[in-house]
Amino acid sequence: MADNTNVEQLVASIPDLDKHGKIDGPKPSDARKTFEDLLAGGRGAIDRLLGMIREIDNGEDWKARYVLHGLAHYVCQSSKTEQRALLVGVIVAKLKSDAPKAVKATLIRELQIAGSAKTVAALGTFLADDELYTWAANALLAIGKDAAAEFRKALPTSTGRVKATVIQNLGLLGDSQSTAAISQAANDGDPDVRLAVCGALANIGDEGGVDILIKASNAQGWERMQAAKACLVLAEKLAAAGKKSAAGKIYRHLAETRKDDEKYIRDLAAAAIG
Amino acid sequence: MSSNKRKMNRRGFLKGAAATTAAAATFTIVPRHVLGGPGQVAPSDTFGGALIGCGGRGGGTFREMSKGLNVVKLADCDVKFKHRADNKRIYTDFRRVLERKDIDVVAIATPPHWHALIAIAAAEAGKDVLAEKPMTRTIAEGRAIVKAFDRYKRVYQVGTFGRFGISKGAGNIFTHKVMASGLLKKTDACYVRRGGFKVKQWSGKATMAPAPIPANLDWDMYVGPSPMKPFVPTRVGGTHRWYWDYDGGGLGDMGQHALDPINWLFAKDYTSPVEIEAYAPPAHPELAGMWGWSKLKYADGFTLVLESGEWGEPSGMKSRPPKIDDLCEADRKKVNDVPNPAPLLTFGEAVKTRGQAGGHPEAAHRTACLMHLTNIAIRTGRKLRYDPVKERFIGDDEANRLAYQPMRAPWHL
Repeated sequence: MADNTNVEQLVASIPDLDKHGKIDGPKPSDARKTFEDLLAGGRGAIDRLLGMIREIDNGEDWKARYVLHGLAHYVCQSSKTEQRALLVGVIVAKLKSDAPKAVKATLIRELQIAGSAKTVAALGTFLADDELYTWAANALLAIGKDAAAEFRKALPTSTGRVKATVIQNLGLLGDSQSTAAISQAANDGDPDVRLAVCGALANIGDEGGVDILIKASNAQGWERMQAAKACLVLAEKLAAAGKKSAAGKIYRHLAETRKDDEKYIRDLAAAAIG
Repeated sequence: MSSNKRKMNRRGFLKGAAATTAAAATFTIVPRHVLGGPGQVAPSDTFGGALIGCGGRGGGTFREMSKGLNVVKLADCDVKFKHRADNKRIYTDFRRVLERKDIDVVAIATPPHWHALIAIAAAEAGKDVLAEKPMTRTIAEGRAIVKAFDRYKRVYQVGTFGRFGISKGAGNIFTHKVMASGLLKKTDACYVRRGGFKVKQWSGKATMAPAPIPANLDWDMYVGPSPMKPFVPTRVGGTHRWYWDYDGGGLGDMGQHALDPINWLFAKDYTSPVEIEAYAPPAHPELAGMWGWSKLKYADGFTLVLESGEWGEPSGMKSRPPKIDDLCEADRKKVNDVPNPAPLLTFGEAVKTRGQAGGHPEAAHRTACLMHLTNIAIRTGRKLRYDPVKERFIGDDEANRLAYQPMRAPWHL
């Protein structure tokens, strides 16, 4: 592949901002040509494009960010498998460099669009990074079930909001392999972690979560409401799976413990019992 | 209103119902304000209200919620109240507001990235909700709202009301009935909506620099489920509409007004398009931008066309309403025999009767989907196929990533 692509010129070819500082953007056909020319330049051209992303997003590099983002979407067409691998590969390499964290956050966001199962290991390393873990978690969750192993790996050493993030995302991925590990955090000192446990166990829908959620639903205030929701979600999943007895245990608890000021929950639990 | 009446609320009254019944055995004269009636409001008809999001649309949204109801405002909540929050009347954290048992109805007028999470939490707390448009920022949020309000049997009304007017016209009712009948197997009917989306106005400026966070603003709570970014003044205060993190540009923000009556008219409250194609330049990663048009085709052949009138060439499509001639004789009779749809309930009527408001979650969600589907077609640059039952794009996992966007913990649907 040619490596003499004039990346700077391609980026500069994007129409300038209007007089109000707003983007009019190129015609779709012109944008496609820019993307194809960049991709034809191979790794070198993509790497130079990434090199144009600056640490502070104050508009000075807006055209480079615009082109990179457009390119990330462009290569997600089903006919662009090789070009997608090229772009993702160069981004992953850049993530392993000493680029500033703000730049890495920008690049991880593009993996949220174009990343794949092959990208999860690179993203997983950032779950241990205080500044980048939310970006990595979002990208991993977007990629889906292939990413669950990275969250599993991160769970034992995580604390605080990172731990809540990891548990929440394991739940959203419905990762039944994690039920036991998640349950161990049910009595964590951080309410965000405890509620992440409730939400995750509800989403996973495993019978093993019943007693933990029932206990959690005896809390007060916000935690009580959220744990009750988790109870209802789990009960609905268990009932749908034919586990009527386990579902009934949850509904009975809610029907018995919700007084007049939570009548709306008591009523729907009673209705579910029949 | 006396201070005593202010303190009284519906739940408080109901809680005391047993005592009142016992008292009735000895007292035969019951004050009029307890019984209610013409010119009097019984405490049982007084609703404790809260406003969450006290910016430009806050007052109007609370007033809309209070129409036809006797609502006493008990709480104001906004992330910019750090300097004066007392957690009694003024709050920065909506969770503390929803914990209050004396609040029955909640008006939500935050930026859109919070609409779904707060509405759902309010339902979980047993409150009824009137939420400012747009209903949501993503397709996933809309479905989650539908599920929550169905689970908890609460009332929801989105803050747009065009369908209440359009659903009263005889011609509109006929069009609605024809489209709802399902008798048009493959129609070439088309509706072109041109303009009114404020595309340029709510497209973002690309040259805004980070700045110190104002002392009165809880930035972490403002950002909420969205990715944490450095504070930029235009990310708050109305220009939040520029940012994908919080809204969806002019279409995402204003589309619910324009499209909600159309969705009722063409009987699309319970379905979504199956093909979406947009004509637009590539999208910026942070900022909503320009677009020309979007064609949204339904399974029955009906096509809705949105034209910005602000960018590129027009779509070349023309409106072609469904006509009685589109049906055979027997089908015309069937349509004419269908009773007219029941009048839509206002939020107040729905709260009092425990019915479903006209702008109920499913209807509001299907309207919001039109904005989201178009914005996703713009952002991906691809023609998309969509399953309106599963609410997923067909053969395009990457488009689904925009329909089901991750949230920053501890926030999640």
